[in-house]
Amino acid sequence: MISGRLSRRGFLGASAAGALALTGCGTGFALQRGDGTGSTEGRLSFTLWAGEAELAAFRTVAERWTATSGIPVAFNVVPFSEALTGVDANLASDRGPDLFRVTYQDIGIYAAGGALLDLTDLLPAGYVDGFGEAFVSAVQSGGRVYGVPHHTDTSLVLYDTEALAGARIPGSLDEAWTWEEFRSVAAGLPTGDAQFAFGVNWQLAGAYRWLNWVDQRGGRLLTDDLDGPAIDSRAGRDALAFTQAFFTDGLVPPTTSTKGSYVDELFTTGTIAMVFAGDFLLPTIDPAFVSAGREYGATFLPADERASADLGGNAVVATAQSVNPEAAADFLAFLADDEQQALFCAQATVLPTRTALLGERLDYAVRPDLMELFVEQATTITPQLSAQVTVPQFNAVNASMVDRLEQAFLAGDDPGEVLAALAEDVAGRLS
Amino acid sequence: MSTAVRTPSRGARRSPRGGAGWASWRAVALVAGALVMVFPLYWMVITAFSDQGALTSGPLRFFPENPTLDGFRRAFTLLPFGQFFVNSTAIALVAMALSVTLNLLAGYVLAKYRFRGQQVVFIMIVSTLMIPVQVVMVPQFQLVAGLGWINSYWAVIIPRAAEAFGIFLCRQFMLGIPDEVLEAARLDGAGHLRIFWSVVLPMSRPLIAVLVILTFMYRWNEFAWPLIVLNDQQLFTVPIGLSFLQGEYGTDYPALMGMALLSTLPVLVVFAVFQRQFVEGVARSGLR
Amino acid sequence: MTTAAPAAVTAPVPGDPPPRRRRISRDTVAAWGLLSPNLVVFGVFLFIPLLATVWLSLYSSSGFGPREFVGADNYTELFGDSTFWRATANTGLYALLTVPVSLALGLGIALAMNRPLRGRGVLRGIYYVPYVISGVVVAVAGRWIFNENVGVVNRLLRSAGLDGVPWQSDAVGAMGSLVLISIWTKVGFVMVVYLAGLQSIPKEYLEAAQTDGAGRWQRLRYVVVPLLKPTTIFLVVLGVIESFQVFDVVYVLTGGGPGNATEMLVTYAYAEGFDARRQGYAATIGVVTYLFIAVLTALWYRRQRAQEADL
Repeated sequence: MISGRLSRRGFLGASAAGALALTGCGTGFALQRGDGTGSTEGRLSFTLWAGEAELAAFRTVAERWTATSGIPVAFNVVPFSEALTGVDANLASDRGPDLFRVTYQDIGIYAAGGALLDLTDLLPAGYVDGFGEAFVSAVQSGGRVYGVPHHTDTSLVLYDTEALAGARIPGSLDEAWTWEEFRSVAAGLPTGDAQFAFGVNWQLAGAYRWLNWVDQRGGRLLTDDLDGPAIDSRAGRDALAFTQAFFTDGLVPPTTSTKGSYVDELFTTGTIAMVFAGDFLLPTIDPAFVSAGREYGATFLPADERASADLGGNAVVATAQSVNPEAAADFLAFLADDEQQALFCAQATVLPTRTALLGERLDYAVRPDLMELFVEQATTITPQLSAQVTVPQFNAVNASMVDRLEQAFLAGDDPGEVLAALAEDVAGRLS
Repeated sequence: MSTAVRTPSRGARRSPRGGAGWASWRAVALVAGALVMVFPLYWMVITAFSDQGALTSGPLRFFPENPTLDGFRRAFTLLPFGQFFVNSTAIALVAMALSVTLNLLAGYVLAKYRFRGQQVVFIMIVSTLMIPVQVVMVPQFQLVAGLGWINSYWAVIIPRAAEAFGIFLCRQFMLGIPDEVLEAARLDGAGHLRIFWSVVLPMSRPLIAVLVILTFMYRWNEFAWPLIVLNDQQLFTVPIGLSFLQGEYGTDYPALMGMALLSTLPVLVVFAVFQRQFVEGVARSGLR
Repeated sequence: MTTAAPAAVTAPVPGDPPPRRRRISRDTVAAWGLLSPNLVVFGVFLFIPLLATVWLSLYSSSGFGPREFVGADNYTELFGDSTFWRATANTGLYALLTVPVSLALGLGIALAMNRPLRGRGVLRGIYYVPYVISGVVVAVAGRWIFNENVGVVNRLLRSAGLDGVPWQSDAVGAMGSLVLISIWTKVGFVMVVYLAGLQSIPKEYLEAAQTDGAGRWQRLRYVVVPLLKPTTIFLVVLGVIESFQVFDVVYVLTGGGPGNATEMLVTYAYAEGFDARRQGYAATIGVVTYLFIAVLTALWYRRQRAQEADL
């Protein structure tokens, strides 16, 4: 009992001393420690999520810009899953950062809410003409430019070399698997306990990637003028029936539905033999395969009436609350110019959006041979599809797709009914 | 209690042997239960010391073939977890000291004073228990931002300094402090704070143990709120660090589990130090 | 008890009794003074945000940019929103599954632990540890252990020749893993509170019952459990409040899926607010959740008062 009390007293004493010492250091206990991420004069604040390689590249570019402009860039790195929660809270309090990173699918809601800086007249004349058409439309809203298309990424089918040993692996876009061929290749792979043919990367924010199948079949999510649903169509139903069968036939793990878990992990652990994966995952996937002594390759997405691929990647935007609009625009123009974009893409293994870089061979850090295929696949990102997934309300539409597709995939609901319900949701979200 | 007498007949059949059987059955059941309780923790330990590849392929092993510290190394290389532990400790200790003081004051007043509006105040305080914090997070943030506290530890500490549950415990506990003692002190000429400090506090040791354990734990484990009010990696707490280990680019389970385990150690230490008085404190907080 | 308490402080001081009114006001001033730090914190950081949330629930807002006053539209939409009702039902089901089971288990452990036993301190520590672990860590560990494909639970089942349980892709499995994990974290706290309750049961009662020939089970049924009733009521209320606010574990473990099988009131509010960016609607869900909890607590309070009056 005595020792108990002594140690308690000792503990309290130590706590108090420790707390005082820390307070003395003064780090986090000082009030008014500047404004955190809020925009203040004399520096640019930049909120972003980033993997290791990406962050290093961002820092390099920022240092170069600071060297000429004399303005420091303060990075605020946040976890991916909560990336925009803090941005939203800061914007709501009129203390948004100067710059933040945002997906092409989310940019619309910020632009529509008046949260973004209109860059149209702040960027150098003709600047946006240097980007591919699909990317420019992705950062535009009502004819105004609200961000720079920093990079893109898209998906390929990665496969375990050993598992696919007997199959025909398409070597060019023209030879890409047809839907039926893809299906029969998948069906020929061994399945069993915790062993599946493949997985598709349409989880959560990636649900829009399901639209690849619709687009490949010649269908659309939205009408041509983007103001109503067009998904409840023959092509939509075909695409949904085809993808739903992945689940009912046991080709994909049931955990990989739209609310499920990310598929790249299952590929590295050997649960699935093929994975639909974005280029930005190569730095994670590659070491796992190398250390396990396994090999993998990549081929193009299946094609039907036409080839089509998802518009991945991110833009960087400036906020309307920025007190440094000129500096912010200048930094964005620098960040996405040919040289800096080439550096970022090479280090982070993502794809360029600048037309000048599309034909160029970048010095990719991981599997440059596969990156060439990603670049080729990216040419099938169609402006029609890009325009649909970047309407202002797309984040809400995407949330509906997550829910509705899951009904088809896991509950086995009839594709026609699911799409009718989705169409109704979409109409509501767009209104 | 009268009900207990109603059916006396069957219990008489109890044999001395039954007592011994019960005792060993009890021990076996407790140990078996403890094994189930400890297994997830054990698996976290195993994961932390394994190679990621070995965890998911090959035969299931209950001890890593080649134990490794690589997971810990990767976590500490990727992020300054040492700094995060210092930050979390500073926040949790200061927040704990503040909360416990405020809890005790409020509990004392609600238990031992009578004043107009007392009932209303008590109900208001208890009603704050029902507010789902995630829902009021944005307006809270706007307030804290308006005060200019963003990016300082006070933004994490002050808004959570008053805790309805702690106040409730204190009130229940202090109802059990005899009025005569306070009256005697008052007759000796002690003032309000003096009575609180030299009479009430010394009688509240077990209660303080409960409050220390609970508030340290709450503050140490908090995630969403510190994440949005702290924007500077220098100031991040351990739970924020953990969320960086699971992301868009795959989850590093050995690193994550290793850091998760380390992150629970301080709370366990606090519990171990104060646990002797914990049960007594809970018992006397009127939760009986 | 409450009525007796203030006597100590307001008791007339012999010799020089000041007028009653002044005495009361002096104590009242002291009371409010001592309460003021708490009241300021509650007022500024909880009640103002709560009022702001109620106000926001009357608007359509993305959180930034212009907001539009929509009156009761959010509430009308809410009552026709099947996901909201599903989340309500899930939350209720979650409470119904976790609260009674963790109470029963916690009571059983406390009873077994309430007698001398070697290593009791260690055992008590082991049962209690999961309670102190943060919800985020618990959920991350849960995701790893209950991973349908590579998790240790399913690998164990498979190596025993059984089928793995669809913890992630099946509604029942997902709710099951959530409930199991929640019970794992709650049972230690319940145990400690019941241990405390057991220690305050006078030994004479049990001895008297034993003398009357009551067996172990009968003593439990007719003496221990009734005497623990206030403890049980406290744990039930706390458990229900916690269940209605459950967030961290669900958000990280299942994200509300598969489908809406584990969507809870607060996770739904969060998803609407920060994923769909419908802050007004999210506020509406929050306000209604608050009302649910308030009504449940008030019902319990009235029932308890009625029962006390019966005694």
